[in-house]
Amino acid sequence: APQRPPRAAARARGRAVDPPCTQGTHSAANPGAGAPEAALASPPPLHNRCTSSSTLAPMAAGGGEAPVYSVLLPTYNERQNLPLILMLLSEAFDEMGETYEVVVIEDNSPDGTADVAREMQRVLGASRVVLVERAGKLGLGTAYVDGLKVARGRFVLILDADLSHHPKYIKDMVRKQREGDYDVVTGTRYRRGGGVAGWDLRRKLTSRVANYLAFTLLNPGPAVSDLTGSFRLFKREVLEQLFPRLVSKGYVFQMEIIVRAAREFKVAEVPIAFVDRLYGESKLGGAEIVAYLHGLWTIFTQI
Amino acid sequence: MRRYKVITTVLLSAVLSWVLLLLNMDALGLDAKAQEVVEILPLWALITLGCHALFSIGSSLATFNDVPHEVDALHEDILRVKAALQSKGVPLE
Repeated sequence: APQRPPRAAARARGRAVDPPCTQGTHSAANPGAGAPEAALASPPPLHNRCTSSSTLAPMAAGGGEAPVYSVLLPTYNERQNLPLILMLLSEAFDEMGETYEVVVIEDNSPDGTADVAREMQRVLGASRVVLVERAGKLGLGTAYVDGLKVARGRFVLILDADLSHHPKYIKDMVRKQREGDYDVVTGTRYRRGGGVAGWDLRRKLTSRVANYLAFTLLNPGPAVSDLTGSFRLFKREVLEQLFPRLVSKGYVFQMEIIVRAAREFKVAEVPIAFVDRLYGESKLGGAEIVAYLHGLWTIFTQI
Repeated sequence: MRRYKVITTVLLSAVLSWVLLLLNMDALGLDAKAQEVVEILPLWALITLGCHALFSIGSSLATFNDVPHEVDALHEDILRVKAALQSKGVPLE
């Protein structure tokens, strides 16, 4: 059996990873005490474990305080939806009173999504909407990698930009994450409280068959019920550790992320409602199915 | 060993065992009824697997949670957010 690093072994026993402090501050009472000791001495504010008494947010190299939550939002031809999803995100975080940033990874959309992103920077503030412009459609996986490079938050969220994932569930994810200091919180459409709007029987069947295959082959464990979902909250270092090891091409990498995460990290789920594409058609043709099966096989043989 | 290697090893061993059993049924002294069982074993296993899949997929389809009201809720949120955007001077299509 391959040697598991100590952290992964600890994860397997169900203990959570402490997020590393982005700032080396310690409370004056015990200078030199590391973050874990401070955490044991008195329960820290759940969203800031670096300092037990200070409420200062960590400073970022670029100036200004780093937000706690970074949302990675790859976009392609989302001119209509981008302002709406950004407003919903800002509402969700403002309601929670949490600092955030949205990293829009724009693949040079022909419909001018980048211009809309810049307009939203004016509305919400350039610190809240960060724009990463790429030369063209370079793939979803690399979009997340590029987005993570500029993201400053301790937690990273991913969701779809087409309004199928409603930011109102973010507060549920945040709450769940704090409950058990989970490393990953993923949205599920298949547990009670979750669901899908806009799928006919054929689409549902495809989804359930795909899930059955994936669960049979990959056996991710009882913590996850929705392998193909992409509405998730991660501790930053989970992604930093997983991204270099991903082997999938295409959208099945979402599945690979959650399968690997379920093995090595503490994962929880919250039910979400998925509203399938209000505007435009959802593409699920033969090519997608073949790509899925191929991707599933790749993960199966690599894990 | 990696998971898929374990699975393929087990599967191949099972197939091999069955073939050996099939070829040596008489030598091993199996009566006619037992031989019938051996012959039909792979088909039975396949059908059992199919039944499990059918049950699992069927029950998950039956309990699939439709949430049509979420479409309306989303529409409302979109209208509200569009109004907010217009008040901030963002041109909308």
